[in-house]
Amino acid sequence: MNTIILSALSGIILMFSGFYIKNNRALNILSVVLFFGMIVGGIFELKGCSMFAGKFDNMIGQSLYGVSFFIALAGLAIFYLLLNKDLFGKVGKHVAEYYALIFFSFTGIAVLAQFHNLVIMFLGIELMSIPMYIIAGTNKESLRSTEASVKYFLMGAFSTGILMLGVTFLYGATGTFMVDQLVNYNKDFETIYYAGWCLIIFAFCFKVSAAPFHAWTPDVYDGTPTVFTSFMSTIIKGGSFLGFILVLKSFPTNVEYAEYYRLLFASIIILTLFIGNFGAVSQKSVKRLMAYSSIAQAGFMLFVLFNINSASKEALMFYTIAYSVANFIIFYAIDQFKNPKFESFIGLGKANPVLAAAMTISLISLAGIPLTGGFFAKFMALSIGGTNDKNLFLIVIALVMAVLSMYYYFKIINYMYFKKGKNKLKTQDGLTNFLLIIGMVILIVMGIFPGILSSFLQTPMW
Amino acid sequence: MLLMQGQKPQRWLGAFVGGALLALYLFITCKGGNNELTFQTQWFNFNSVKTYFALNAQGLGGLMILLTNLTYLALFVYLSTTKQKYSNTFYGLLLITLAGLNGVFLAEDLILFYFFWEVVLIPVYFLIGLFGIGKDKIRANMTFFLYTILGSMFMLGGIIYIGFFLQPASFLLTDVVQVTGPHYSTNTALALLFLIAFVIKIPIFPFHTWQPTIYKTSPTPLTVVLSALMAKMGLFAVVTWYLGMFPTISELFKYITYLAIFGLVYASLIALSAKNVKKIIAYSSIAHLALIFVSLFSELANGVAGAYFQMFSHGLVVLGLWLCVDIMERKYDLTDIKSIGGLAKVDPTLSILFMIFGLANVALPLTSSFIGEFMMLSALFTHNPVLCVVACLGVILSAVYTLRLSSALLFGEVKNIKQKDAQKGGFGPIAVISVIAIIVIILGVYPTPIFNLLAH
Repeated sequence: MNTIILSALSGIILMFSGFYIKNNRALNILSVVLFFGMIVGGIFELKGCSMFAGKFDNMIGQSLYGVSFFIALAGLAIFYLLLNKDLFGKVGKHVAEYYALIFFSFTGIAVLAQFHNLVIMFLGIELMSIPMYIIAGTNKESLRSTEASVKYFLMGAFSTGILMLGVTFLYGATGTFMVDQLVNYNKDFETIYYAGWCLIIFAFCFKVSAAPFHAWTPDVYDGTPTVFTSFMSTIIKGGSFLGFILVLKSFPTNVEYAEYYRLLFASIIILTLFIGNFGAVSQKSVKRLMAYSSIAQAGFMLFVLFNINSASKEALMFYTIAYSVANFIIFYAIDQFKNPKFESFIGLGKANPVLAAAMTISLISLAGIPLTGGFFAKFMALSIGGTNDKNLFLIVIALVMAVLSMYYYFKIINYMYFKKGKNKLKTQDGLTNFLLIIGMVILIVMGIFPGILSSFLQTPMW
Repeated sequence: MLLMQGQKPQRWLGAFVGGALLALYLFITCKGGNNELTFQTQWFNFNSVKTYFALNAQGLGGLMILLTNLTYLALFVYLSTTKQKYSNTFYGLLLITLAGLNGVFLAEDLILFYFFWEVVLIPVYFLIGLFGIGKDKIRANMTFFLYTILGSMFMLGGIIYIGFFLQPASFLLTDVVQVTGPHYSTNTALALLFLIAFVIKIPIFPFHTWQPTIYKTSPTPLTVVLSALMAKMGLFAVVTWYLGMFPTISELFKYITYLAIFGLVYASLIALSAKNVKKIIAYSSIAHLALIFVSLFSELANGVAGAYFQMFSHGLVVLGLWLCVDIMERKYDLTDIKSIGGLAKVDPTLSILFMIFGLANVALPLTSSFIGEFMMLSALFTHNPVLCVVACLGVILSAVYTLRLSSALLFGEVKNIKQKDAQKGGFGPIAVISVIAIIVIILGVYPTPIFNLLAH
């Protein structure tokens, strides 16, 4: 409850602070401080110290995992805000509003982290998404930004409808909205019950941009101002996956439908991996490439849903952190260029060694090669699928697709280091350099000590 | 070392690291005691399967560590004495491969092994991309990288399946061996996944296509590492991991040995007709590795011991050959077999050394290769006479192409060589190569230390 209230309050504070604070730096610092406040609130929540003692008819409840995940996302958001501190001002005049929208979206994530009830889940999804529809269109002078916003909104509204229908079906079959009671359903309504689950899965697939519900992703990610694409493709995706895994936890997997469940996800994953990777290979714009790459990465993340237990939850969190840090750095680099093609990166290794090194580590991490967090992220995600021997083939296909992804990730490295040419990009200021180095350190530490998170999730240090 | 860009190249540091590790290893081995040679601590624990950071320097692993650090020591001393124009980035990346190689040879845990196996690859990618030779290097580099990593990915699939479906107590070799798949076909599929990764790395026909191009493109110090050490990574993995984990799947063995032996003859024939000196050595390398690979599967103690010995010896011989070629390249602009001739009249020292390694490549008695090759062939004869006969054909061919190469370069009319070039370069590089040559000959006469080490 702390996190929900704090994030909503922070959003309101920032919305009004736009009238009084005109300095972008000050707004940035203010929101970072508020994010720290949210983290502290989350820690208090874990200790059992909540602002409101009420249980709201058990519709909201704190789990160690949900709140830890939220804290991790808030930490990532701090990294994101500090890294992109100068880029918000480039998008438009109303900087305070952008921060406010990010906070409102975090309110949705906070709700998603602790729902016990399908209606609350629906609320969380909407709270998270609606600010994103607005933020996609913040660059009002750009037609593509507006297009992205409208497209995202229309498609999003459609998926909302599907989600709502799914929730209704489940209510019809079980007579309850409570997530932990969904397992007991009326046998006469079996078809409706599983149809409901399917619809919920489809709606979430839309949110995490899994194929065949991915069609909006390339256009929206490409049209949205790059700073916000960075946010959408990482934190929002992480939040959606959090909701996904928490709701699927109550899917009755130990019945004859378990095999259908596996097949459904296997086909979604294969489709996602194929579309994401083959789409990315032929791209000329690096930003659009990253949009397809984020579809492909979602394909790997979906592996954690095969078998939901503490290991898969850990894998999801690990993957989200490794993936987000890498994406933040790459999108930061992309935002330095007006029209980010491969050619823009020629000679970056000499012109801006820190940024180039950070990008290299991030790309290696996204490709999933050891010594970076990305490897263990993929390893953990795939190993969740590996608990069923029918998935062996699927895992091998996914790994072959990973080789394909290395082709386009390493193509960027080729341009940065091996092609001859000069780059005019200026070096960034000290703080950004420091953050880029921190990002590299995070990725490498995750690549050497992958157990770091599990000890954290089992026995929190507070 | 990567951080020292733009400063004076620190070549000696690399030699120091190689030497220090070598000394450390020798010290620990000589002190005896098996406890010092192993190390184990828990790394992480995911989904109830434990992973250890477990190292073991006994037996073949120890031998390979010896070879690795010896090679690096020689290589860095050589680079320092010849004053080559590489930046610190180059040496730094080369040292990361050293770390990876040592890790691969030491790892006792499947995940740890895979981890180091891939860590070797990334610096190699950058070394070729940044310092490679030729116009086509970016493309060749990418092909090489994707090709080898495709194999590793198959292996990773196998690892995940073993680890999380078969659920051993941990990823340690001793635990992994104890689980087997539910069906024979599953086991075969698993074995195949691992085998593909390893044969691409060695490389065995028909997965060898990346090798000659990349030996030609990469800077010579890296070529040394690739051929003397990285190829051994594949062989080492076959011995320790493949044969360790799937000792019973014999049908696969049969087909793969036939392929390898075919590759042996095929590579020898290409070496016979190739013109580029680097290509000749690359193909000859493929042939030798194929023979080692086949005798590893002979299931006879003699053949396996011979193969181990030959792995060590081939590393040294190839190291010597590449260094000789490097000197010739830099002094006399050697490119293909016809570009120079009559070296023996102008530069007798270098010619003698080149001849020693050439003859060692043919496996003449008195050189270390003879011991290994003889043991392997005799074991192959008891195992499968047909294979042995074909392999002998390969040995004869190797004599033909090596003699063709040396006669073209060393003897005949003096061609494109200036007398004054011969005096350049100083004594250092020759000294390094001589030391390697002396080791090769000593081991050819008295191979016992190596066998003692293996029995450790």
